[in-house]
Amino acid sequence: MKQALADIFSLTGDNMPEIMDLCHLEAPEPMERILSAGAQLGPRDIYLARLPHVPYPLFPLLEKRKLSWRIHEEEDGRVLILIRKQL
Amino acid sequence: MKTVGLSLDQAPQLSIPASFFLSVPIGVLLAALILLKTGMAPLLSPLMPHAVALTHAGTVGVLAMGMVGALYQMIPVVAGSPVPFTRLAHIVHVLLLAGLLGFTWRLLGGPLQSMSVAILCFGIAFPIFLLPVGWALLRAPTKDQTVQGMRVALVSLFVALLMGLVLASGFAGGVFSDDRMLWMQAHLTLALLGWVGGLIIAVSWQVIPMFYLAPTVNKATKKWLLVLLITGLVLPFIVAFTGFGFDGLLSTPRLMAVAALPAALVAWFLHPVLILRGLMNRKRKRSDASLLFWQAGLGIGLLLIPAGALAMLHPDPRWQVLFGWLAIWGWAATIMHGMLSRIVPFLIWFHRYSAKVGLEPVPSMRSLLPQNRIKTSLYLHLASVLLGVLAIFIQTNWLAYMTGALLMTTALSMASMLIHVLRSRETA
Repeated sequence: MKQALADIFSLTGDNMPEIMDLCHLEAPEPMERILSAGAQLGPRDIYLARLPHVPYPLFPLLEKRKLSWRIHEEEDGRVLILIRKQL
Repeated sequence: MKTVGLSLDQAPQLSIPASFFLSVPIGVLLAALILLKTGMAPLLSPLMPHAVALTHAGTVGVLAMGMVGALYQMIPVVAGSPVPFTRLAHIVHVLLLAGLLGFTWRLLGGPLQSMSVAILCFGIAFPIFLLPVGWALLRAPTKDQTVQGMRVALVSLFVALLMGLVLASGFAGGVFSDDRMLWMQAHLTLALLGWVGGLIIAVSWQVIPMFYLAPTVNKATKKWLLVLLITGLVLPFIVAFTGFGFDGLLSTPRLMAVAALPAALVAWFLHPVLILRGLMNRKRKRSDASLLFWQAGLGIGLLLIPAGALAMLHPDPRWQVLFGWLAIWGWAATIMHGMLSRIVPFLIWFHRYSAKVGLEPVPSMRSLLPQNRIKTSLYLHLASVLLGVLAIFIQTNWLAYMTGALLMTTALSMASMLIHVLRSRETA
């Protein structure tokens, strides 16, 4: 599983963070958690979370904070979002 | 499985949805004024001009106003596709208000020209809404059942609009077609089940899990519901075009209503049952007044198939009025009122505070609109539904006036709730 995720996001297994499951939170709590976590990220840190759907409104906020992201849509409709500082 | 990396400034300006949402109470106020001015007249028979005015204060002034605002907001967020030329939304807003006023004035005894102005306003407003929104939906990267349901709603609105404009021309000095009842039946089916029902269903699939943590309806069920909905929207047209029907009980308009049964079953039985069951099984059972609106609206929705059957079969026109009252103000407007109490705080939180999250303290979304304000609006809304039902059956002017007064109070409560949230920057 960890290796599969590492492949999806082009990461090495070593720097693969734990997935934060935010599917059990009401909107806008997942967005709050992601933005709060994003504010704490160091240059090499990675934040990975699972969400119930693609968080389109989040993207411009991440961009303004110079955070890059990648989305991976799972077969059940949920998505994984990976966030890190822009290089 | 796929991986996507998107960079889109999706959300429209706050002023766009907010202007439409703030106009919803104006539609309620207009309905209240019609009842206060004309008493029982709009509640006697659905074909009377006063009844048509009251109906459209509800469908255009309340429902379309909220739904158009919601679509401008939701399509970028849900479908990931920005709506082009969003500045046109301000023109759509003004034209809808002007059209509604002209329409109402004519039906309450105003000059023929006011209906011509209304037809012109609606004839411009809806296409300049439908084209950019339809374009955004067509090229949306997300193509799930919510997006498909929105497409069904927009196509239904387009055809219902065309039929509505032809029907309205009868009040602008034109002649009503011999097939007026057929046109009305088709207009009603598309507007109520396709446009309103389609959008409520599509939006619920997105917002009920998102805001209330209810389990999602599975994909296969959603697909079947959409197939049934579309079937019930198309079949009445086949009946109309073939002219199939007999005199009396099995007249063509009645058969058209029967042909719409698959769509009615989806909107007023299967969808309410599925969503109500999902809400009972939600993961975190947090008390939420906006949820009570959903439960009340869907509960009233379950009454609509029996009410519709009585309206179709019983010669007393009060059943037809009752059906319209319950469908517009009891089912659709109750759900919309609840949605506004949840979506507007979300929008304000998103536009004003989300950029500060993690950098400085921000208020929670729930703190922007106290629950007691939402509950007051809910009780007023439901009391007005009930009083309207009594007015329809007892048929006395004073009950109609009281319903109008209660509608006015509901409009003021709704407006006060929305203004309270919109002013939250100063108070947070």
